[in-house]
Amino acid sequence: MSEWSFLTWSPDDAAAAVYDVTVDGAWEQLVDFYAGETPSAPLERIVTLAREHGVRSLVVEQRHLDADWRSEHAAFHGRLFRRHPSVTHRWHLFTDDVDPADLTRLDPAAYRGHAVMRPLPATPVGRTMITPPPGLDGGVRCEATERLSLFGTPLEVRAMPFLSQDAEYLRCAHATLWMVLRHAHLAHGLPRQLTSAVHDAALGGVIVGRQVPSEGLSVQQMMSGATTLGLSPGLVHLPTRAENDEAGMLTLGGILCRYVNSQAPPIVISRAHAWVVVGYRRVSPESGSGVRLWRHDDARGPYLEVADPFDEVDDAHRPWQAAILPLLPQVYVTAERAEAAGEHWFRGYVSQADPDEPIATADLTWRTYVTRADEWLEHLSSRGVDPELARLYRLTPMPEYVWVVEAVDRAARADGRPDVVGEAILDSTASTHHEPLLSGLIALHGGRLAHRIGPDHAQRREIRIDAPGHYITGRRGSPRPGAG
Amino acid sequence: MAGIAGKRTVVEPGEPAGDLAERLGLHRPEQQRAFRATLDRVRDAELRAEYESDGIRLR
Repeated sequence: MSEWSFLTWSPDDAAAAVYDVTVDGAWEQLVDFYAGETPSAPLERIVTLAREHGVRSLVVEQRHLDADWRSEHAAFHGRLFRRHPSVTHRWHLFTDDVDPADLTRLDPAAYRGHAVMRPLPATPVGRTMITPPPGLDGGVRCEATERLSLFGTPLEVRAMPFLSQDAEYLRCAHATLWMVLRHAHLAHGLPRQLTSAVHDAALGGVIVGRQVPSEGLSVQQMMSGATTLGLSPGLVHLPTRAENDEAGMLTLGGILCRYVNSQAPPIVISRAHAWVVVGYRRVSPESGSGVRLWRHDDARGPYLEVADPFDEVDDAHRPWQAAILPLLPQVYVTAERAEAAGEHWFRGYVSQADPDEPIATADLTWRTYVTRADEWLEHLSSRGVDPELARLYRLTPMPEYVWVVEAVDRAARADGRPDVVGEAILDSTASTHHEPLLSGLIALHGGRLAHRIGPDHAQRREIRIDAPGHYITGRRGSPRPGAG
Repeated sequence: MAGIAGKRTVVEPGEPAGDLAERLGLHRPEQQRAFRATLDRVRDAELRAEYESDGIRLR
């Protein structure tokens, strides 16, 4: 089927259709219906994820008014000679047996997310929030919580938003921008941006080729669109060959993980395609190369594990050339500069520390992330931070966002134990021109020493910790100690 | 503010402390050179991304 008739798409006025997807062939027939005669990799991936979650029931809202689709419809699809319905279907995934006789008794605990189906054969997958797969359990993930109401039952799902391109109005560049902006809306409180707003915001700059239907975006258009819509993106080159992925802070994994740690999902670009890195899982104690990355690829589906970024099977993914880093506008310092400063301070301290300083003998590495200061302070006690140290931090004036460079004990991390032995806290609005960013140092703790600096009078306070211990990371996105 | 009746002084944790720069070795030339070299590599990576992104069309 290349197009649906309107009556096929809206067959009746029923509130929903319920499918028992444990019945042989049910998923296949659903995919055939929504994808038409053309395979849809994102739709097939959603079905794979549903199967991994053990989904038993699919509830389909048959007249869902999706704001993103409506915005695209008004700007593009509604202007075509061939008509497309203005309503979507929305799939809801449940791991229990939903009783079609009473849809007012849905179990929120069985909910695994939703996916909007656009009336576009071959590119049906619209706004999607699906629980991450079991393979990412224990990993560090960019995600946010979305709450919705289905027939009067409040439901919620925690995930990274996904959207596929339609290959005409939205291309991969638009889809990746939308995913990042949707996450920023849910996780950081930025205004919601619809797909048409993303399309329009990225029209600027030097235009090469047709914009409608879109032949794709330049990197400059993506950067401009992200800036217009409330982010302050950076751009950094990635090592394109394994042999160039040298030890140090500019490894491919090292760069990308800092932004995943920061709930700023990085957009990776090759020569012709873009995707979003949405999480990682540590597979060995090595920094950078010791992680397995996961991505949302709008043309292939959500939550796909990357076997090896330097040996991609698909031409579209070769090479991982650069990353667009979707930082919030309040954050002036980049992750790389923050980590360089933190490492600089720790190395200096360790090199002349007292002989009984425990961190001087540890094999240290660094874990860097930006976070809201108030959220970070609220969680100090539950992380096992020394009470006196927590008190010092809680009474330290801080900006809205701080960079935290944690000193991590590699051996403890490899064992899955609490692994943080210190941290440098850096003003996210510090000048990046006045090296070595010392004016940005708010506080530093390493082993026995904890020191904080007042912002106006430079009044310094210090505590000595008699028996410094390890505690768990303050990074969001991973509740398990030692996961990353 | 000091003259307003009822003001109570907040008890801050720890002791007054001196400059940290000495203990972090920030004045040591070799450490400064290493830090600047790192920042230079970061800047190079940013500039390289900028000029290598010319002509790319993402679809």
